[in-house]
Amino acid sequence: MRENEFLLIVGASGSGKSTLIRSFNGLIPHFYGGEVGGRVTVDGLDTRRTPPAKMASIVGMVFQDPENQLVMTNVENEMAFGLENLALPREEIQGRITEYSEYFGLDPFLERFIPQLSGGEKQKVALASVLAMRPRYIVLDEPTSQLDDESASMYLDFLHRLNSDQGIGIILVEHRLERCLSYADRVLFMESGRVIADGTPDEVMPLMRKNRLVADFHRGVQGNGLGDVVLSARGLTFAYERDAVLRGLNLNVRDREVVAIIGHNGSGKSTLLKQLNGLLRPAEGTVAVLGRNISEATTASLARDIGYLGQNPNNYLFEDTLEMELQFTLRNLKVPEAEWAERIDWTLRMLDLERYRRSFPRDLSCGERERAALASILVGRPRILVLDEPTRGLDHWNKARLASILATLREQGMTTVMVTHDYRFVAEHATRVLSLDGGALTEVPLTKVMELVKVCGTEA
Amino acid sequence: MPMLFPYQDKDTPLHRLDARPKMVFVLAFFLLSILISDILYLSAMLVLALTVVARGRVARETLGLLKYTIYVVAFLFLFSIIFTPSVGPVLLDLGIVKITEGPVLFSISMSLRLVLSVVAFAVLTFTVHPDDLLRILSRLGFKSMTGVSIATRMYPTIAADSAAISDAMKARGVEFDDGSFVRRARARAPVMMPLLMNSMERSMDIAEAMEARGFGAGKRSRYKDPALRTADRLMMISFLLAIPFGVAMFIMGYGNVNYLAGEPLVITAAGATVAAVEILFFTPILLGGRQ
Repeated sequence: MRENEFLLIVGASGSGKSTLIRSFNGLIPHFYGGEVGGRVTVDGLDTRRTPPAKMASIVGMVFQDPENQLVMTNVENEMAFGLENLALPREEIQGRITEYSEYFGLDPFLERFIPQLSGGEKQKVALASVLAMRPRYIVLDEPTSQLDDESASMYLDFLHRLNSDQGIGIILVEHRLERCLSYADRVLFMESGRVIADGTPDEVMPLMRKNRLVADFHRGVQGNGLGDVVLSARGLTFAYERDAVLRGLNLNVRDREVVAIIGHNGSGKSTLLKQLNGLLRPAEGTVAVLGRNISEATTASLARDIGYLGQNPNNYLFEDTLEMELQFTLRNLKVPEAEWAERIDWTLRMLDLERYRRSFPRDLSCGERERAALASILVGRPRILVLDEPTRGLDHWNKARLASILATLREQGMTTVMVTHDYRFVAEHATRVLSLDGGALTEVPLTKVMELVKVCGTEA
Repeated sequence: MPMLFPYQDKDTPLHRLDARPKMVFVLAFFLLSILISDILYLSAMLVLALTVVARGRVARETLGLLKYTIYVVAFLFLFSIIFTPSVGPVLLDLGIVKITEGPVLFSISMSLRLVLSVVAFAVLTFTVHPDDLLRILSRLGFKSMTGVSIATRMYPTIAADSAAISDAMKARGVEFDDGSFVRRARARAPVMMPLLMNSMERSMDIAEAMEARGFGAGKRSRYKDPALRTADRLMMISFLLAIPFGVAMFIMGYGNVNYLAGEPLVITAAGATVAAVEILFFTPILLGGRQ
């Protein structure tokens, strides 16, 4: 790699991208151990002989989850943390914090508690903290996977600016390819631990298409729901302490619809979803599932009719094997044991997880964990599925799989309600789109969704 | 998102005081509250402790913590009244059980100790910024203590995780609010497992991120490490002196009462003076830090 190059590394999950980039700053082998053949040299330094702490001033690294790389409680101390590790004098640290917080527009945030920042802001703090150490290269491991479309495209724009203004070399592993391809000078394509293509974005494009890492826009869903209303909310009002989130909201979902709910951060989308299966109860108004008022029913008893998948699939996975995970749900739902084998087989087949029946679910990749969590819900055979940000952290290939699973389920009679920021996924796979704003829902025509897709630059 | 951080970001003389004197205060105060058993001395210490908490405007939060000690206190009373032999005059005769003075005084003394320890640590939790704690502990060479401080930073994350996992488990048919206490407690088990696993995965990520940012490279510099003022130093000396003074008076028999052996509650002029002197060592904390 040359100085101030913008290098994009692509490949399916499990192709070795994360491993490769961790050898650039010596985390491999110093942190992870393992056997290393060959040699990585950065500015003449052999990473095997230079400890990661020394490499830190040459190669900075930003990780996937902003939550897990910020160690201090406020932004100023966080930025100082790396500089203190470099043993810089206090005046120098002060100067750099001022300089970089201004560059990042973080100066109003310096005193803020990190746990109170949004995901996008946290990831920006992580980048600023690394950059203040003045590395010559920055390695980023799917830095936008936990961000919504708007924050992600802002973040990637910013990386581009860093590269062109400050001449910092960027090595990026990313699955929102559409946006970064225009910025990359060079693309490495990896497969099973090897770099099988290395060239300009245009040169590598055919290979990426073939491997379904990028695809043209294709509306994959047909028709809409005209059947009975299976889920309805009337006059829902809800507030956290004093902040009203929902104000007399109405919703009707018909049989076999795929309803997507979009809206800004903090508009109450997740709150709304939790009303639908009783995880939260409205101050006023009613919710009916399959025609039955749920105000007296517990969430657990509703689980047979309405399945709920929250944002983080890890929260669903804890048993030794995937099969035991499904049995856990069946036991809770008091399904007769005679039905277990058939239900488990059906679920694993539906989600293409048969070969992981006896695997520890937490050993699976991100996309597979998502499906494993979905399996733990689907095995209860609900009629309605409620999904909170189901495409978060998934690459294009895994999103396509999820979409085809949802389509198959729909053919078999499933109704889906999802909350998402992923406009392209919505435009391709939802039968109806609603926007939550000011505590109430409004219909969004498909043409409007297409405009949003273009604004965020996530179309191919 | 509700604020789940225990530290209370307030501008009071106590918050402005450097973290080091506060930590020495808590340590010395805690040691003495364990050492001393005389109700008179302990009550005097409690008055001071509550004044400190009020000065830091964290009284409400401290009471929130103390709420949980009520159960322990109740248990203490019940246990010592029923199971210890009668000592001293009978206060109340209930037929089968005679409540006598000895065990009651003993329970009061133990409860005061407990409450004092909780209040002392409330000062630490609510008025010392976790970042300051990290800085000081890592400087003292407690590498593992760095982890304790990060745990404080991760507290809101883990609390949010726990709520999300509860939701996930309800969605998988786990009934939390059904049946006896034992059944409900058992239903919580599936929440603990993913929580533990999530936390372990997070801790690996954090360790990796810290290493990638050069932590552990050797000597670090300190960005915010204001020099101790003379007043801070004097305060620390005063708090530290309270320990040998306390030990000396304890050996000489002041503040050292065995209520279970039938010693009564007495207030002497000498005792009151010694207690006042002991408290005096701690009072400088009320001065707080500079504006």
